[in-house]
Amino acid sequence: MNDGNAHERAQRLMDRDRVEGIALEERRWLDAHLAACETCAAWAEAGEAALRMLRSVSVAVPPGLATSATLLVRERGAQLRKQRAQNLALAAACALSWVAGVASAPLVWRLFAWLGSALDLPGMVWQLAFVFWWFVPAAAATLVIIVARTRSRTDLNMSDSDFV
Amino acid sequence: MEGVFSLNALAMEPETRALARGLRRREPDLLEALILRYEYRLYRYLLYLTGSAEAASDLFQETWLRVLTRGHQYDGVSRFEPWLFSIARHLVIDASRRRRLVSFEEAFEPAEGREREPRAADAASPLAEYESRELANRLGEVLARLPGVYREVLLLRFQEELTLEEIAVVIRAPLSTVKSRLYRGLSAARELMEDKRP
Ligand SMILES: [Zn+2]
Repeated sequence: MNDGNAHERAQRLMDRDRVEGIALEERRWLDAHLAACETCAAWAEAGEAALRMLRSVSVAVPPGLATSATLLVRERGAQLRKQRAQNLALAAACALSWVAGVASAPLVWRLFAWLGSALDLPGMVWQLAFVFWWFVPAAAATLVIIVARTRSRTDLNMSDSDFV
Repeated sequence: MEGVFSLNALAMEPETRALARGLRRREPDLLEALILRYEYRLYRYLLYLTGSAEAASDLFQETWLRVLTRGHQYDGVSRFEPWLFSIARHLVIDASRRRRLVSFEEAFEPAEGREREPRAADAASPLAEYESRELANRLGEVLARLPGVYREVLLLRFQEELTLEEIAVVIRAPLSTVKSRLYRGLSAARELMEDKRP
């Protein structure tokens, strides 16, 4: 191996050692090369110094950063709990009205049939009226819930890409 | 070595599971403890990624709001840090789309505020301190000039000391991409350091 290749190999091994580790045999070769080659030894030391610096350099945390985050999170948490309670109440009301609707359907059907015959309406008309009475409120409620959910999902949506 | 890591992982498991349970329940005390525990590391990570103390502070708050609303997505099996950093990273990307994040200098020049870790040069001689500051400045400039894709993996690996697999989780990329970015990042950083050498 000529000198240029040896330096390059040493360089590659130093990088690999830092990223994923190297085999024992490779370490022996690298140690021997670093002991004999001043240039690569200087490179190795400079690299280590830079990484040590990266780990130890301090940054100033703005005063009260954690406190303000805690307050914000507590406030938002309370909001979410309240919202959840409201959603639960809405779901319970929906379920209750649905049960009541199902239970009263035969009665309402007879009522519409009676109205249809009393007003002398064609069967199709009073049957359609019954269908509307039955579906429109449920469809409206479903739409409201879907819109609300889509909105909260869009708010929380996280994009997924790289830095440039 | 492998045995030690797996034992650590086993010992760690109950804590991560308890953490996941608490996050699902949005326990305020747990969140407060997490905010305090990761205050320095999360802020530092955000500061290095954005290069702006103001942006880092805003994103710090936003990250914890996301942890609150998305806590149920933490699996309770892997470590919490990669999950936390991946949330922060997404927010940085979103923010950088909305406005250009500039001024990387702040990361290495502490402004008003509290320093949580001793400076590397604190106990050193004046000459060593000068050299250390010199290196810190050079490092700051190099990091600022490195493309974001390399900067983030170098920070996660050598500053946050995440494993390669954890970095892959944070940046949502295959392991091979993480490795190649680390190699290219090291090489690019080396070239830039060499340019900056006095
Ligand atoms: Zn050499």
